[in-house]
Amino acid sequence: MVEYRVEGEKLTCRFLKRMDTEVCEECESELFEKIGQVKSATFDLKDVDYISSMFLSICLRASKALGAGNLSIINLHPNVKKVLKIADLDKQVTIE
Amino acid sequence: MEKANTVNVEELINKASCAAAIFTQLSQEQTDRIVKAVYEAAFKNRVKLAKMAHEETGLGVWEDKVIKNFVAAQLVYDDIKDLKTVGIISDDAENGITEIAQPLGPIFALIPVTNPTSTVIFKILTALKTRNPIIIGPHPKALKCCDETARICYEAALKEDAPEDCIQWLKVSSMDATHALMSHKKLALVLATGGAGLVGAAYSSGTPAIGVGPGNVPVFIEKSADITFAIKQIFMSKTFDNGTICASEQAIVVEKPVYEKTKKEFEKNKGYFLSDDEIKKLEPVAYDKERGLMNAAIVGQSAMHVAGLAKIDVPADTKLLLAPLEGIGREYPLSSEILAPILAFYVADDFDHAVKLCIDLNFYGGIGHTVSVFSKDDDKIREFASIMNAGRIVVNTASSQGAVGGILNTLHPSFTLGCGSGGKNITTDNITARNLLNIQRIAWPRPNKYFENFDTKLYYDESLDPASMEKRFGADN
Repeated sequence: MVEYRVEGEKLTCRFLKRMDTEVCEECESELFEKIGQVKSATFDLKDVDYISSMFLSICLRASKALGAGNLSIINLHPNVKKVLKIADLDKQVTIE
Repeated sequence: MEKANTVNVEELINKASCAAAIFTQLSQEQTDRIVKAVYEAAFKNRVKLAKMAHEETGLGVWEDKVIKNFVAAQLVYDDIKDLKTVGIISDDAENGITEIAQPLGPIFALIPVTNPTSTVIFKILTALKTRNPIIIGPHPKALKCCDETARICYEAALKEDAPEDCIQWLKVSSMDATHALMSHKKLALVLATGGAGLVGAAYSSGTPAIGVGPGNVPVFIEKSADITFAIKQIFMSKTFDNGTICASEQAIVVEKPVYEKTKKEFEKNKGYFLSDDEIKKLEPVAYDKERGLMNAAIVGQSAMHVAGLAKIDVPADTKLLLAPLEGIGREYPLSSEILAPILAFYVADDFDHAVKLCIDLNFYGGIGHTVSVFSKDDDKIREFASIMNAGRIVVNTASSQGAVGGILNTLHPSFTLGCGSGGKNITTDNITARNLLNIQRIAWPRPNKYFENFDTKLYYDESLDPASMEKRFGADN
């Protein structure tokens, strides 16, 4: 459900399906383990058309763990972009 | 959920914003599943929550609070369940307007002490139906029962995959937090039901607000009315939950020809007419003249209890105290809104006199709320209704149940009754889900006859008059 690619100290996570609560719970620990080993990360949401409350929480925690400006989210579905804007996540995370 | 003993306004609002964001992704079907689950949970717990509300607040009658919870759950659900609240809700091809329903965003809902659990159920159902997260702000004397109601609703919602924190509630009472929440830039709406002070603060907060003003409901008993029926309805309404509903009757205005029969019917149903001396004893007990408000000690108490507080001997089982008064206003405290089984009582010489008395009562603290009329003469009813300033004119109906809606008429069932501009409210509606939406309109191109072949020279021509416009653009052209 998540493909990881590490280049130097940069992690790219490509999420492969809708990020509902169940999927988030399954991938959470592995995701944070990998985030703990890098300085910056990119979440690629090309294949994600729905995110849950828990995924928002994961983004916020990832942003805090990596420090300001070190998490970016790319390839957003328009609906998901709207969700991130309403949740004010664009104030803490770089959204492309 | 709010941590014990503190209110972290930023945290509450941020969580509500996240819930609002997630809500935007829900379909009508998903939304309706959540609303159904919450309705079922509230319905199942209606008795327990009514008992809790009665025990904690010390107001009203628990059995009547069960009925309030039933109305808030069953009737409100029935009213809103088929309403389209997600996506395209109407498509008018002829006029080229397509309407899309969008949520408002986080709502802060103030809850009164008089109807705590029922108002929480009502506001949660309508907020969730419209995909709005809600923060419940209970009255300080109803914290526990509101906490339990909100918890039950929230757990039911989560089981149907509602967004986390779509329902939050304050566990402690804090005026500072209440004001900070009301004026927070991320809050979309204050849904205020409560005292005039709190509702006024909501309107002054800078956040859009739907509030309700106080009621001071006059009841006009016109000479053609079925008196026996009318008095039964008034008893059913005014004694319901010991008069805690703001739409309950406050003053009776009866036309002289039916005065004797009206008085007898009141007495037959265990209404007690106070003497002038007894009125003097009751006034300071029922009303705080300095503050210009009813006394909290008598709100939602039985007639016997209130009489006891005023040291008035009344027959056993007295259900209503009636105060024949000569006037309306500050010199007559019992002519004000009092949420207890006390009624002011006036005898009018004729229809015009009765209407004028009702105007005075209507404008003395109850403008925009509700008035009641008993009559068999539809023309008189229409005339009376046109003169009154009230969002609801209930006809041959118990006023409390009539104004709340859905029980004795087809008004939308609601625990937030708009009072229009007279009550400093934005609407006279019985507030419900449809008031909690932003409606977006797609405006498809449709020609306007004046602009279809726009000839500017024509409009610059000062000799052009409406008659020539009609000739050129009238229906036959």
